[in-house]
Amino acid sequence: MSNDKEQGGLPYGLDNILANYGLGGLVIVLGIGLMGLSIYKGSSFTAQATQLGVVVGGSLIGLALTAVGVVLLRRGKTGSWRTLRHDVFIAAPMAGFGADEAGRKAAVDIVNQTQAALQRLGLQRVYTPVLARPEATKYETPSTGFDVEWEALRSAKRYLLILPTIMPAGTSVLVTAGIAVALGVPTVVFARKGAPLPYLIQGAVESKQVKVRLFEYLDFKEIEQTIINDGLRLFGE
Amino acid sequence: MSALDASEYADRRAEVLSVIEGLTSFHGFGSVYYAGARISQPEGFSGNAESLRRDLVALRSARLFVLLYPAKMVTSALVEVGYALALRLPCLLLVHDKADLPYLLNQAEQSGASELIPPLRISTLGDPAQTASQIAAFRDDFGKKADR
Repeated sequence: MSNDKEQGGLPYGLDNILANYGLGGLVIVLGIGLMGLSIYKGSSFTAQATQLGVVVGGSLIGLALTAVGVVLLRRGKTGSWRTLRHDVFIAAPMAGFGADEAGRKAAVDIVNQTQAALQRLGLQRVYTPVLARPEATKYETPSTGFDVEWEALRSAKRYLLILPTIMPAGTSVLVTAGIAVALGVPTVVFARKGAPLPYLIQGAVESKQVKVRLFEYLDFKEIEQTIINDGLRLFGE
Repeated sequence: MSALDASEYADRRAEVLSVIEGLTSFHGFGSVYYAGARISQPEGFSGNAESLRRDLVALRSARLFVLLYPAKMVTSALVEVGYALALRLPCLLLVHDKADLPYLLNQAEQSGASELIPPLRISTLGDPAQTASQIAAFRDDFGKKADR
């Protein structure tokens, strides 16, 4: 629930730019628009001094807006700088691979193998909460500081989510996926063939506004094969 | 809420709409975005790019974010929480049992707000009138500060 400014808000086009590129993109468009408008309209004034004032003044203000927009754009959609320390953040809802010890082990194995496959691509610096808190008693209870995971997400160049057939209720991976999408981190989702996706994840996969790609798998071999076949193109690189 | 059956969904949706009514009628909220406001059946959560776009635009233009989470469930609202955290929106999470929340969100409350982490409060979910009052109090504590 949040304050909705859609009604009577920005026109759809600007709205779309805001959603796609954040405030920086919007300011750049307005800056360029102002420069174009001042040049186009400047000549319609009869007095030469006014013409000059409109063209030069409008262009300078437009240029300044564009520069501010570029700075904002570089800060990212969330308006803050990110230092990239992890090549990839791997998330998997451990409870989804089985509530017993065998299921937990299956989750750890699939993440370990995915990590190894990514490392063969040169992605050495991998962070995964699954291996940071692998004990069965801790996998869905507070054990790792939020700060640690938050920092790992903020400093990740890529985000990879492995989903099981049945999504466990109340899993943290949906939260981390939301953070990754908001930060504009290129995201790959591996989902079991035929398994339904939470609707916003499905929407993210279908959207051109965010960098989320979906690959389906039946077993780990298919995940590994996809990583081998696609390499870094997996993440749209 | 898309994971609920039609009857449960209708009940929960009616409660949320009642909360929104309370916010706009008694607590001075101008406009409130709720993804389910336009979706009267759980099948309506069809997962298309337009739903995502609408949600993201609303989140970007919001002053605060509220999660109503009556039970442990699979819901895209948890994706929205992550998005709201990344946008540094003050977050109020209303639950019957804190243990229902993903561990990460319980941890987030304990971490406390910082330059990069927004204020996050976890409170007990009550009836619609109580919920509206809790949201208004949260807005008074944090939402107005975000306007400055």
